[in-house]
Amino acid sequence: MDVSDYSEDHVIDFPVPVRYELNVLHCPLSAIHVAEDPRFPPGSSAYTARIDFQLPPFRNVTVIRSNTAFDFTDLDMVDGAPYVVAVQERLILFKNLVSRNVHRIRVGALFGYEEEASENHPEVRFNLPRLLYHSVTPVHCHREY
Amino acid sequence: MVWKRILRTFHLPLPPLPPTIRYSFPSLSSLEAERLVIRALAAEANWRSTMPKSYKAWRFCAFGDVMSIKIVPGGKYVVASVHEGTNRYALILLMMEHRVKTAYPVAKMATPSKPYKLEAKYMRYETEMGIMISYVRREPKRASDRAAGYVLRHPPRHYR
Repeated sequence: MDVSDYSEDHVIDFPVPVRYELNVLHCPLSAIHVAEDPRFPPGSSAYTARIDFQLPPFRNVTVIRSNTAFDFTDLDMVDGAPYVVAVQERLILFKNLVSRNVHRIRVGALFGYEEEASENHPEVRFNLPRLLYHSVTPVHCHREY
Repeated sequence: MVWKRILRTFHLPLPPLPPTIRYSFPSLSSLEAERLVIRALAAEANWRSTMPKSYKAWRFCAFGDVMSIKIVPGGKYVVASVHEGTNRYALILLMMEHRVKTAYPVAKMATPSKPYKLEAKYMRYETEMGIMISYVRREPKRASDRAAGYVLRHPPRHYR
């Protein structure tokens, strides 16, 4: 049995506890261009020599490990800095890929659905009086990894 | 150079290209300039037609069972999560319209378990422009379960 065989689109009751890893890699275009340089056709000795001389094209940028599944992930630039964004149920993570700072936002229930949300997510805190449609509570910002 | 002259005054949106000097206007070859113009015209005509449709479907070998795929904006590169053999997984970066093949594999990295939720974008990291790729993978939490064969035994390894 391999946990990779299970669907990632459904909530699975795994037979063993499972952990999750969000990996971010960077592949410099300079490394890719070595492989596509028209002066060195693939398969030629010159091509192989150039490829062997290069560093591995995939470079690890960051890893976020968690015991909770990642529902949604995205990459984007914020104020000129690269970020990875991840959503885990009601928690949204923003990780700056340069400074490594992690910002967390815990999203509350929609206005009018607080009771239902409290029953389904008893661990989530809601700040109802302050926000009309939904509460967004920045939990904290700290350095990780 | 005819196509580059046309391209210089072309008014329709062009297909995105990798943001590097290699694909800047002075560095473009005539063939690449022609492709840009033709694609922009074809896309515009198709988009404005009463029944837009796909004219071409590319079928290419990804060197394994494709679990998921992500096209880097512009369509020049494709990132694929592939399953090889019984329990080997990898990420492959394919260059589209390569001079040798429709999709030419330029980089590959084995992963200990299936990579999913692929995201890929052109982004600058430190000083280098490149393709930023994110993926999620999962594995048994306990080392004893991992050792018992619940996941692939191979460590991650970079290779080309």
